[in-house]
Amino acid sequence: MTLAQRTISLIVSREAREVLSVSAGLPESDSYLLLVDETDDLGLWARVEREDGEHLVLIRWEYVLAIDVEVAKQREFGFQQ
Amino acid sequence: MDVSVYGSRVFGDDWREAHQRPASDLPALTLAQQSRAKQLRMPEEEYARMVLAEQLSTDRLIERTAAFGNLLDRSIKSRGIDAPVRSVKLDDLHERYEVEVQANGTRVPLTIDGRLVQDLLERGSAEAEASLSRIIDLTLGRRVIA
Repeated sequence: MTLAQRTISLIVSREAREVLSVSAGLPESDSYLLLVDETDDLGLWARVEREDGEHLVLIRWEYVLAIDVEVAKQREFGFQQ
Repeated sequence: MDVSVYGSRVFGDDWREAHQRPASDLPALTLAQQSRAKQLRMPEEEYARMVLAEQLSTDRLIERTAAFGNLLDRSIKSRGIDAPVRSVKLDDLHERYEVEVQANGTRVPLTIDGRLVQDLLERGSAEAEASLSRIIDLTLGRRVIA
């Protein structure tokens, strides 16, 4: 499964909470709801909206404690050809 | 044809659009969503923007899934095979399409790799088109000519 383009709940270490609060302006919390833009060897790149516009924030893997992805969601509709 | 999408994702354009919409356009949160926003110490408006972005992207995924279903149906017909597509489901979590076609009175399941569909619909890849034709021939009983 790829994380890119998925909204995830991210549980991070205490150190990461402080960094995200200062650098990304996110409220200090045990977990964050974030949109992942992409991942690489360094960590995951999340989209963050700030007053000056959109930002991509790198959250390094060593600060990630857990990732929660909602999967039980299905939308259906009938389609007439 | 029944079309469904399992899983969810958010495209960058939809995330941006959701963040530019006035607050009055945002969906009302369910009690569970309000509770989750509180747990995350996230303003409800910000949470609602994430919900809206997901809704916009899901609409696009449904459109893409329906487009693929129609394309597959046409492709099967063009090969002279009587096997209409009955349902197409995008399993976004595993990046594949699960299709059911009606052939000889029974429903035949097909699984198509999502990357192949992406190559076909977004890049118009001739190679992806050939792969899809080969899948149709192999699964629906036509002889494949190398």
